[in-house]
Amino acid sequence: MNEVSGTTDFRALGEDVLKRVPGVVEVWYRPESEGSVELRLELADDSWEAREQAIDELVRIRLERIGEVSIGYSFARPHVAEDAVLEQSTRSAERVHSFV
Amino acid sequence: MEVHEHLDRHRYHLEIGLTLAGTEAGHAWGCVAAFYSAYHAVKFALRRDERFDDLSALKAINAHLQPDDRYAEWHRARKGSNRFGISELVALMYPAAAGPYDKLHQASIEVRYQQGRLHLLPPADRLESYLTQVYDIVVGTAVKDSVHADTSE
Repeated sequence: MNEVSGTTDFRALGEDVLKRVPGVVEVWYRPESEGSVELRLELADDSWEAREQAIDELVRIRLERIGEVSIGYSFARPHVAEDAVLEQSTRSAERVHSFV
Repeated sequence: MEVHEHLDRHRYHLEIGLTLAGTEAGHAWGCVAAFYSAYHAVKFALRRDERFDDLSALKAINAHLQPDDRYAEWHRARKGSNRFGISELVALMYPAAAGPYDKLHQASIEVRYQQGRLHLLPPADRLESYLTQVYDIVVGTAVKDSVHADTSE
């Protein structure tokens, strides 16, 4: 497991919260500003059904943390999350967690 | 944009979305139209929702809510801003609609910014179901005791 970020935003979410997202194998994290974070998630199953389940949990997490941290998210294709981060390198994307 | 115009745009995108959904060439953009149909239904609901006229009612929902949040334009709180975006307002004001709304949003993102692969998009029947859920919940909550199509203020 990798833990790179130690920012306020990361502590506001935390590993236990991210692990709740069904099927998540990698989470990439981009702090945007104080109290705002953008997640990029890779799921084990590359299907709409898997995304649908993940979204249900992400919506719950957003509501739990609302007013504390603004959470945005998107999905990465399996095994290409690193590429996605390279594309975003100028936007300070960082690896947060690998759950495999 | 006037309040009723959001409902007009909801209907326009709805018609386009449901026409394209399920077609070989158009399903992906049907997903985008479906999301924007939901977006305008939410915008309509926020503008009509009387809870925004009552500061104590808003604060009972969330201490950070403000009357002007009914005019939110951004999908999510902007960088450096403490104001809510539409997705967050849906979660706060119409929590039962947040799941289907986010699913429509993610499908739209997949089409607009990713590869738009069909296996990563909801099938047509589910797309329509999400949209129906969002509309019924947000407009039904905001416009109580009225026919949903009633745009009178």
